[in-house]
Amino acid sequence: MRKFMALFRKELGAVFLSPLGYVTVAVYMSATGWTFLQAVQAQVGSRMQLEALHAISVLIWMPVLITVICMRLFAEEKRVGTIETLLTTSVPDVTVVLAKYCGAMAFVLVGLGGALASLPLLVMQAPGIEVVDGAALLGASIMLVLVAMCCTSIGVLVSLLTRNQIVAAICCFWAICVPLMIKPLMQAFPYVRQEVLDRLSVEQHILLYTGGILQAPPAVLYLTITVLMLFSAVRILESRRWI
Amino acid sequence: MQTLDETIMIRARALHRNFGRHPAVQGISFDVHKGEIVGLLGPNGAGKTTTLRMLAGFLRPSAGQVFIDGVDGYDGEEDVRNRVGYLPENAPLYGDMRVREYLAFRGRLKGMGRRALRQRIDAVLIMCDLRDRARSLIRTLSKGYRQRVGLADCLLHEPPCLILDEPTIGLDPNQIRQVRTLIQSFAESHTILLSTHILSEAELLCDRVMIMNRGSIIAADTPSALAGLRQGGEQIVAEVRGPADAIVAAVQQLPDVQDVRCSRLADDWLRLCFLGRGQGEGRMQFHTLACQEHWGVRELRAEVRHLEDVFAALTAESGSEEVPRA
Repeated sequence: MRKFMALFRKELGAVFLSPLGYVTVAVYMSATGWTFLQAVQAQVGSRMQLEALHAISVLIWMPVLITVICMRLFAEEKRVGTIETLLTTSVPDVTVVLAKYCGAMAFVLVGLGGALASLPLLVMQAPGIEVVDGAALLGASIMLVLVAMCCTSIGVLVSLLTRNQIVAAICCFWAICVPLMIKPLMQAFPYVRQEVLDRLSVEQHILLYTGGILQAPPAVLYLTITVLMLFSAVRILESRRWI
Repeated sequence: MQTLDETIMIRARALHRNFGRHPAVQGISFDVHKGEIVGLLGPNGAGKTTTLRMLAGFLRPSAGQVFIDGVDGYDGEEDVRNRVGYLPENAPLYGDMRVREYLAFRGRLKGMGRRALRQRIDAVLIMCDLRDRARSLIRTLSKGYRQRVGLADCLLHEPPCLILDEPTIGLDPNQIRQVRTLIQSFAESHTILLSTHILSEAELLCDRVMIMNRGSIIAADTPSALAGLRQGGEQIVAEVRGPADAIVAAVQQLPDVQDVRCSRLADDWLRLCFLGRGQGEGRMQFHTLACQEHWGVRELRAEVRHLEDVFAALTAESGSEEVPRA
């Protein structure tokens, strides 16, 4: 646990002891807020749950937030060469991956938390909206955290595959965008049933959770992908001794 | 699995390492005894770094075994890592950390307790002469100081064995001297295996050297023995005055002399270069002959050969080739 905490604290320090973390969170919050206000104006006259609209605004910018933190996780260590000193200490590979993942998740949670907590403030800017449903906001938050866990694990895995941060950033961004845009992507295939698309769609999951329907399958899906990605990351890290 | 010989710190047996189809290390075996400083020499791409990485546990051998202080590098990986202080090439460090902060981080990764770690950091800062830089950001340090931070990290968990990959690469002559002195000071309590390109450094620092080329060890002995081994005797230089043809003919007749070459100097003296067998027999025979023939002799000496000559000759003989690095 001591080794995990040492690495976890180092990851937090790398983000929060530099302006990068604060600037990224501020930009992320501004972007989600602006998107939300634009969406509210576009939805005037139609029926749409406010919390769901806000959650989707937060979701749209999530790949950027996760890419910024994940692109440097392993790619930077490989570029500088510190991966060699890190992996020749008696720290198990699984601890290295988990500590980096948790460090990245902590940052993502700060960004998500800030964006979600800003809803009441944003509502004050939108005319005609007075009440925010706390339960719906909680439901949306749970789903967003699950999606963030899944996307961050994909980011960790991608970062392991290259030593170039720019390549890592581009790959990371698109690798995260694919699951988030699974519904529009799959709609290109006419033989895929609508029911299947709804089951895979992140947007649909957010609408479900915001509406108070806390179904297990979406949660299981995201947790399974997270575990699979982290397991693959550990295996890839181990494999570098052999290749 | 334990090795039985307790005097051996590092034992490598039939180590192979391939990168794709390319064999970087080809079945090398060697022992490093406790308390020794052993140098690993070789041209670029000889397989030195790959060998050190396998010993430090960063890479796994494609075949063969490594034992550190009697512990199998595969079965007792964590145990081995606790016994080894490894400094990779160019001492990679986190530039955004301060020196003390970095050492504390590394100590925690190595599983050290808070109190022990604080004491040990103070000790290594003194050992590596880093006390006045303890609060400096690593990215602001000169290369020499960064190297010292890397060495301090190696020593932090008090490993009995240090593996140093080119510890003086890229340093200026003063920094090289400082780091060399530092390494010499560690030798009392550690077994050290280091790779280097600087052959004079190996001669000064190492009890034994191993010369690698194309993934194999082509020579291993003490630096002085290696120089002698290569030469098979001594290179003798003499400056004499007299009839050139007669002198060359007479010297060639001596039983322990061969390969006689003669050149005329500007002041009409002759310079003879020849190989004398044994330890001084050739010189004695030449001296006796010169006295008998009444030649004027103003110089007679055995040329000192350095490891550099041996290195150049051995690696030229076996050929050198760049191989891909991990």
